[in-house]
Amino acid sequence: MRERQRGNEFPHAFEAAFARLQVVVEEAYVSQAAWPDQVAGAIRAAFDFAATDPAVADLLTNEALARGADGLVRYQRLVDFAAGLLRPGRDLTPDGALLPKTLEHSLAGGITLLVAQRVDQDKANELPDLAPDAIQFALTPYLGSVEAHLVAQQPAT
Amino acid sequence: MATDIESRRDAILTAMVRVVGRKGYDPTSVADVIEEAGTSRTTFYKHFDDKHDCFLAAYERMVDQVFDTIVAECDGERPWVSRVRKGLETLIQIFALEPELARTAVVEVAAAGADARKLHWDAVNRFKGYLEAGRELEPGKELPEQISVMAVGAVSGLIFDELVAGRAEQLPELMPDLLFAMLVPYLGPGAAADEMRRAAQAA
Repeated sequence: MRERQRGNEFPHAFEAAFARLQVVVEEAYVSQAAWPDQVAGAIRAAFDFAATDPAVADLLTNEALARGADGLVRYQRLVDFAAGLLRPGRDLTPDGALLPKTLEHSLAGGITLLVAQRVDQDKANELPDLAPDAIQFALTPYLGSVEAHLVAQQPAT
Repeated sequence: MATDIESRRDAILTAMVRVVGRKGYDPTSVADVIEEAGTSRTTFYKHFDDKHDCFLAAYERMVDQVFDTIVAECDGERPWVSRVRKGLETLIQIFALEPELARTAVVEVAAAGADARKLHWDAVNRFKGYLEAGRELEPGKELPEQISVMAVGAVSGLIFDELVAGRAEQLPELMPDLLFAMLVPYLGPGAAADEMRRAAQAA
């Protein structure tokens, strides 16, 4: 069982962890040229981050959700951040304007739940191998299943 | 006599779900629950060790009741897409009619500790089980192993946002978006958008 933060330590611990995650994910995102590769790189980086430091991943997900209103607001910022990286995908599909406005939040929520579950079950070490699943899941609404699958199966660069 | 004891236990479990949904897990006390249930502290402790023990029993019973209702509404002979739509509609109607239950089920469970989260993951896996048949729609299609967990997460994430914002009663308006989120990993964007439009027209 991971050690949980005390009440007054949680806000600072969350913000520090979130800042670290943002740096890692944004670096991976901008290191690629095409948007599908940017998303793939960001997801791989986030999953590696969680596998390397499950206690921090737990803090950002399960612990935040357990912290009442303050934790919920912080958790929602995490999901907003992930959703923001997906939104440019709308420009890649002619039907982008027809996609539901909640799409990016639903995709980010789905991927975050997978991470939270694995971390809570002490299986964070499995996450890097699950990154291709999450990449295909994130890209399918914009690229279709076949193209999303091809991007997901490309080796990390 | 046995029925009376059972009904008192049921009343306490129902009260636990309501009070936690209204106040949050941490601020809820045994006193709040027995007041809501209209019972005594003695009766409470006859059935449960403490608040946490009662919450776990209440959560488990609530999940069973929700699933029983969904299964009763979904005809197993219908096509998969139709079953998913009906199941989702049923869930959303339950949550819209009982916002306190919805908040306990989706939001507050995280605050109730590791045992409660395990029950939550078990519930996610039950939903996942219903979705797995979606893999058989196009046998040659390469779908991710974890697709169903993420599809459940996509829908529960949107529901979570609405509940945190205090908009449980408006959940039915979100049905087209929720349906798209649940179907798009299996069907792709075109077919999922068709289903979304049908749901919007039906609404």
